[in-house]
Amino acid sequence: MRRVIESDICIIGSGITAAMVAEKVAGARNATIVVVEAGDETVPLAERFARRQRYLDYGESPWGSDHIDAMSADGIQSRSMQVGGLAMHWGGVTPRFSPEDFRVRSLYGVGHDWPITYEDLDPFYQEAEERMGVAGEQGPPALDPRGKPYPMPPLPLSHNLQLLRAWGEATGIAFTSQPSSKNSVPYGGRPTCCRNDTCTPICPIGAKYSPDFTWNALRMANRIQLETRTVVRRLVVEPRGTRVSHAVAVHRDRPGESVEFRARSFVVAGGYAWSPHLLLLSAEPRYPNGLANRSGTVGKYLTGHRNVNGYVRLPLRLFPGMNEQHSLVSKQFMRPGPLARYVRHDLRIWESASGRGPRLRNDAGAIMLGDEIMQDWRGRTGTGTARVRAYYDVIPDRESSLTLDASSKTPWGDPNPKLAFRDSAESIALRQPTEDGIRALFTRMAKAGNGEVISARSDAFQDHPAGGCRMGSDPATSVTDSWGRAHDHENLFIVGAPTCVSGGCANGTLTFVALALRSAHQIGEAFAKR
Amino acid sequence: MASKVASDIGGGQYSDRAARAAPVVSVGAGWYVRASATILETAMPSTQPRQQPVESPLASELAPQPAGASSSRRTFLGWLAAVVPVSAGFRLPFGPALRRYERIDPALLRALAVTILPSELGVDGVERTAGAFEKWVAGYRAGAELNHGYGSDRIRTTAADPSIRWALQLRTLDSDARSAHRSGFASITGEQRRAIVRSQLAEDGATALPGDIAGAGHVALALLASFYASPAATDLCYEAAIARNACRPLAAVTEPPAPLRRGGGRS
Repeated sequence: MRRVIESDICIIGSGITAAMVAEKVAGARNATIVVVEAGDETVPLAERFARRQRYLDYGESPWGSDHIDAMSADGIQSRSMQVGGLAMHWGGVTPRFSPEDFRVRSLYGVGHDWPITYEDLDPFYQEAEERMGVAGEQGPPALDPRGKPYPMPPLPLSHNLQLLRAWGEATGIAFTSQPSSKNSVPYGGRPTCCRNDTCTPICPIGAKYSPDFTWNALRMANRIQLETRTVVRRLVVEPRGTRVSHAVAVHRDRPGESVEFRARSFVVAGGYAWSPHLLLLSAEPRYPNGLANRSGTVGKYLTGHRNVNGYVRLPLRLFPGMNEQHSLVSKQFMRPGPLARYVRHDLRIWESASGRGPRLRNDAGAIMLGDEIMQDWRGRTGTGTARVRAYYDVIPDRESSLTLDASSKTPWGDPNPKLAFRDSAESIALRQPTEDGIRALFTRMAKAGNGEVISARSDAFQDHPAGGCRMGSDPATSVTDSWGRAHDHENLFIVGAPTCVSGGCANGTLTFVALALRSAHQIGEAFAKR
Repeated sequence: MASKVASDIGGGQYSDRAARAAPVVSVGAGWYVRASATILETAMPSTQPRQQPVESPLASELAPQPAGASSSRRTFLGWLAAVVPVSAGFRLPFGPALRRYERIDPALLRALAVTILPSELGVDGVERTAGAFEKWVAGYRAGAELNHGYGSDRIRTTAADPSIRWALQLRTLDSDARSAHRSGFASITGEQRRAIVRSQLAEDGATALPGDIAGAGHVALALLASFYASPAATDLCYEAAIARNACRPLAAVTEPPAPLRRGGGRS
């Protein structure tokens, strides 16, 4: 049995970049769009308060069946396979990369330049901020170049963050309110943030942007068709040519039925893991290494950033829980100017209650009960703790890679992906001085506030993963051009995170979305304007 | 009497004859514990009169024992409590007559709450906290999927229902009180109650308030963790109406929280 679904554009995946591409193309072009999602529908907004309460009370997942049990990957960062993807439980933090991120080879002699500049991406950053709704504070222009203002005023700094900003600036560092895709005013038909502290994993009121809002609007307007519980297993190239003719999929409820998606253009929007995975799975005799892989770089150059995270004890009276997921950010060390040695990182500050919680045993080791615990706790809260963290740039190695894992199969018999992140040799050499430099900065900041660093440690994993189908001007060393179009297949686009050349040193989602919107501009060119 | 209790505990698979042979006792489907004669002896009846202002049926049926027997009684109840958390959906092999021992005794819970929570909560605050704990227990779902946050692909589920273990531990507090003071846990002085709780926590090797309430090894830790994790506890500590986790006006975030009015709310 075979079912065929035809459209002008077939988008594979329904995460945040897919939603942005669909919204942009559907709004500007006469094109029928089908979106294919392996997972289920997400939890409706109306149910999120109750789900959140279960999360708060019992730690339960608020997102229900948001993954497919046997469909995962060794080394994957997170699992959220449902309508909306990972951005259903993202933190909504939306800084831009800095201009230097796109030119590290030219400026510092390390890593790789992107085929586009910050200036090329600026209008798409703006578009991303306007479509999702981003609240932000203009930083010093030299550190925070922008073509237009943020669409929303910044999230106000809490009493805690005001104190912490004064502390941070005593060290001579400029801090601003972290740009966030959370409503500081009503926006996009969604309400103002009410700072109930559970942005991740779940915003119960919809003040934080998530892709389900876009999908709901597009479906309501009959602009797209969204097929859920349907796993695309491979892309097929037309027999005489290089264009992708169709995608072969399986419906999870009807595994005996083959589903074919036929379209003029295909958009792979499965993120850093499932996008290269699909291209590798699509190997055939003419393309034995998978589609779009003439360069042999599909699945290569996985990238991200590592961090050093610290806690600083300060003589400040802070109140935990005022708006604990919001933070301060500085771009000062992302734009360092000429460097003797390449070290770049962002810098963030949060309120924290680390080390200041209630405890069972006192300093002498005796068990406390009754009034003793509260008195002990109260006695330790006269001063405060700040959490500080710096994401630093990790330069990816070619062999930082995703491969097919023959030892692990999906329920349909396809090999699952296997991920192995690896620093380049130059990045390995830079790691220690980078982390030492960040720790020294934390110490300097602590001293400026008459405080002390309680702890500072580096996480082993690379956060905000990307890459695997990196863009470039040279088809011999990259998978797509700067628009996300596969060098080898003119009607195949890979959008968002997988096309990144590097992970920068700030949260990646806004950059992924801006890149996807830039791709959408090119994808739409093949269709008549509305 | 002893035979009845023993046979209830053994789910019908236990007998006096088997006891003499240091039997294998079934305590759950497919899961067995070899019980020692010492443990079994603690289930022998006593002729001591009942002295329990707080109703403690297990103690009265298994116990009233002479002073000095508390250690072995604790061993028996502690043993029961220890074998409980083996799997989701676990039930003690009690017959219907003893099924109530699986449930948290409200009066004992409140006696514990008064003992270990800060006095500034007052009667109403203690009652609210105990009630919230009971509600938490009633709403617990073993085997539910836990939040799988960013940074891990592991899918984990909630543990077995801890409330049976906690219910038995409450009974143990009561039986220890009877052994040491010839009165139930609720009838002895606060200092005496705290001494018993301290002793049990020390014996269990408790070191910290658990972040995961269900993972609390002792009912006292669970109750403390439940309270101290609450926004109300934070407000009480900071003497400020922070109202963590509540929906609050965004604009008000710029000001320090208002001083806490006793009894809750802003002054």
